[in-house]
Amino acid sequence: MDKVLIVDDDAQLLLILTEALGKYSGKFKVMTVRDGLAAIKAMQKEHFSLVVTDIQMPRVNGLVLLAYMARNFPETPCIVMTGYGTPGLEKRLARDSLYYMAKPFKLSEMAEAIISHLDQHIMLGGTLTGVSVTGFLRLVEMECITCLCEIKSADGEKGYLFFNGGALYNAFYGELRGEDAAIRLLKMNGATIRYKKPPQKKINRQIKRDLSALLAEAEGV
Amino acid sequence: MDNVLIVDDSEMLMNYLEESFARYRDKFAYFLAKDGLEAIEILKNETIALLVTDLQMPRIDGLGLLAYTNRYHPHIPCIVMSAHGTPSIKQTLHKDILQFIEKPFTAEALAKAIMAALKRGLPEGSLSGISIMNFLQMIEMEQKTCLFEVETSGNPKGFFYFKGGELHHAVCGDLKGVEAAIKMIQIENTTINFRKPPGRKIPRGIHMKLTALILEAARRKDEG
Repeated sequence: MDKVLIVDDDAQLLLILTEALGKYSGKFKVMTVRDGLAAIKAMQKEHFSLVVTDIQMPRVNGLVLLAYMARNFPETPCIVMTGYGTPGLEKRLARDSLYYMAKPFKLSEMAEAIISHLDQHIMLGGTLTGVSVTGFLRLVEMECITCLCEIKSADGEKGYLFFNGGALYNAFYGELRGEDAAIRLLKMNGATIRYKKPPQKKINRQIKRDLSALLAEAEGV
Repeated sequence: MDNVLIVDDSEMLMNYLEESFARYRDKFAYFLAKDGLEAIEILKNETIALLVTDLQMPRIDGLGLLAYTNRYHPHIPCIVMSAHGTPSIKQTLHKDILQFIEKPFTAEALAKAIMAALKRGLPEGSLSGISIMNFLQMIEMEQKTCLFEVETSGNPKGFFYFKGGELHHAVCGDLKGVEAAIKMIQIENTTINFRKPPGRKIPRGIHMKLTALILEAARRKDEG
C-alpha cells in the first residue's frame, strides 16, 4: 500500500491530519514526523509514495528536506504546506512540479490532493518528477528565506546563489559574480541543489532583477 | 443550552472543531474567537458558561484574556489549551476553576473535557477565581517577559517581573524579592493586570526557582 509522509512541527495539525486521513486507510497509510531530520531518517528506512511538508520548522527545515529529496529521491512527489500564499503562486509552482497548499486549507482538499498525486503517479508509471531546482528556488523566495543554495551540475561544476529574506542578492560561479553567475547556474542541466546556512559575513547585493526574470532569461524566453 | 467560548488563532484547528462538534449539537452551543480581543467582545454580549482558550495569540493573548475574565467574570470556569503543559501545572487539575488540556488533542477529547467542566460547574471554594500561583506558572510555561500587577483591597499594590519566563523580581509595598513574592502568592481575591515591561533594566532580585518559591509559600501558610 502507498505510504504518505507528513512533516510539520505543529503537533496539533499532525493529529488533525492523521484523524481526517484515517478515513482513507484503505487507500494509503500516513506517517507523521515533527521536522526535516526525522523525515530524512524515515525516508532512509522505508519507501514513501508522497511527502507532504511544511517549510518553516525548527532544527532541520523543509528546504533542507526538499534539497535532500531532489538529490536522493528525485522521483518522489511532494506537496508543500505553507502559510505564505500569494496569488498565482500555485500555478507557478505547479509548472515546477511542486504542488502547494496554503494554510489554512480544508481537510477534504488535502485528502483530494494526496489521492490525485498517488493516482497520477500510477498513471504515469512512476515518471512524475519530484522537486526541481526551479521549484526549490521559488520556495526560498516565497518563504522569505536567507540562505546559500549550492548548485552542482551533473559533471561536478558548482556555484552558489545567495538569498537574503527571499530576494536573490548575489551569485558566485568560478570567477563570475552577480547576474552572469546566476544565469549560468540556472541554465545548468541535471543540476542538484544543496541548502546551506547563510555565511556570517555580509554579502553585497549585486543582483537587481528578480528570480522570475532571471529564470525566464535562463530558459531563453 | 450552555454556551462555550473557544479562543484560538489557528484556523485549521477551528475548522476541525467546527466539523467535529456537529455531533455534540445537543450537548452544548459554542462561539469561536480568533484572539483575546474578539473573545472579550463576545464575553461582553453573551452569557458564557465556560471559556476554552489558547495562550499564544496576537493582539490580546490568553493570559490577558484570563486576567480580564478573572476580573469581570470570575465565575466562568476556564480550560487552557497549551502545547507546553508541565507536571506542576497538571497537579492543579480538578482543584481549580482553571483546567488544562494539552495539545495535541482530538476534538472528541476536548468535547469530553468541555462536557465534564459544564457538568461540574464551579468547584467548591473556587470563588476567588484563578489563583496568582496559576498565573505565575502559566507565565513561566509560556516563557513570557512581563510585568504582572496584583491589586487587593487592604494590601499595597504589588508587582511580579518576569523575563523570558523566569521570575526576576517582585515588589509588594515595602517588601522586595522573595518575601514580596511569597506574600503575594498567599493573597486570595485579587485583581490582576498585565503591564508592558518598563524600558529600563530591572535588576534581578529573585534567584529562587518558581516551584521552590511556591512550595515555600505553601509551607509557611501551613505553619500559619
